[in-house]
Amino acid sequence: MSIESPKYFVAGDAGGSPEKNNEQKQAPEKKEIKIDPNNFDEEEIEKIFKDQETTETTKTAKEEKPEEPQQTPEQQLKDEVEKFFVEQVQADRHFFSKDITPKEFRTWQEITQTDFKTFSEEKQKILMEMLANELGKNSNLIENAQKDLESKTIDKKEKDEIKKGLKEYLQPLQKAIRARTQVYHLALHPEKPPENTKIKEQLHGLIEKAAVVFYSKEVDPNERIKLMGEYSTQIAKLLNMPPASIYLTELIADSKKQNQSIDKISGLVDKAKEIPKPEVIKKAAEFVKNEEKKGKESIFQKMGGWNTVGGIAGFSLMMFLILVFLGEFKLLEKATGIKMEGGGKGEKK
Amino acid sequence: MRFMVIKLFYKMDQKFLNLLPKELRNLASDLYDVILERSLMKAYQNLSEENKTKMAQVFDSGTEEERIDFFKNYLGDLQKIMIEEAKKSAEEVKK
Repeated sequence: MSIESPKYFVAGDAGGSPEKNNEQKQAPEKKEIKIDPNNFDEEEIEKIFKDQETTETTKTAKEEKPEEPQQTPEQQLKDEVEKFFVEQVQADRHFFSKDITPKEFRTWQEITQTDFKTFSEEKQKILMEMLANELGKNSNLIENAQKDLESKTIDKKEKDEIKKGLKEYLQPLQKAIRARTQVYHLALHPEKPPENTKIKEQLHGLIEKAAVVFYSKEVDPNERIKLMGEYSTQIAKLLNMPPASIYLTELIADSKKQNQSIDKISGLVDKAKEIPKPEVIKKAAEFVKNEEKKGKESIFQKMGGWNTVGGIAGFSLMMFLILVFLGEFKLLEKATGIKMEGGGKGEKK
Repeated sequence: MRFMVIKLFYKMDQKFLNLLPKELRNLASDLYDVILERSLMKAYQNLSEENKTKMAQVFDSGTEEERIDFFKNYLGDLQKIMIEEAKKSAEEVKK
């Protein structure tokens, strides 16, 4: 760990802080046993006393070499899960302390969820409890740290240390715990596809939002691309599609991928231009494009909208972009109701 | 639902180009032409010889109304063809 014992690193650090562990190893302290007479768990108390005895016994272990207390299978499982939990949460904390791309986040989500699904119910339950406890503890630590930052009795040096601890440790840890909790929760309670009526309402809302962003002059063009990409993804999700494999935003962010696509499209266009076409095709294409340029004034639109010719060319372009950038044929089938036959990911079986 | 998605696509069509990076924007416009011409060519090839001649007459010297009628009466499946063509083009780019 790069940070040297900031004030808030010791307590509640998912049991994984090396500093904490070292301190505990060097100077084990006798636990203070607190029992609430109105609410106590006999088994827990028995365990605490047993642990206390074990600690005492360990002190003289070298002389007496008593038999090691045999762990119950439950305790073994708990220890195993705790070890796993500590390792994972520490790794997550490092992961979430960096700037991560949406793709990296999705990969992390998928791996985490896949692992979780392979665990036994008991192990899943213990993990969920540990996460909930850790989330509570860490929230308190963050709250206390923030109070201390506002305090007038704490000097600047200590406040700087607290700030550093918050930024580099507690906040990434909180983010990591929340993300892991959400992934586990989704694994246990997968989202059910909304009913048709709900889909319609949500879809309508998304389309309205997209239209506002699309026509807004105040939104930065880069932000618009990002938002449109997000809306496309949400629409795909609403239509119960798997996550899109290539996102427009990612494609644009990845210049290599973008250049590859541009080169390929360029080749396709050049090749198409070389093929001779009858004059009538050129004239018909020109006619369609001219009508499209008229927008609402297009005679096709006046006569019946999309189901005639108006908007077809623009629509097909959109289709193409979705196909290339979102790599999703099924979306088209769902969106248009038109069966897409032939090759490709969304091929109808 | 279909209508709403289509409505969005329709609203976005031409102006959508403005959202793309410049290099892609110019190319997308060319691609627009390619998909349209390829689809019209396919629709044209499906016509009988008699209708091919009729189409040539209509787009050479016919009125706007006659052209629209021709689209409605003889090129009714153009939208399906265009989606197919868009799909084929996408497949080619993805290879």
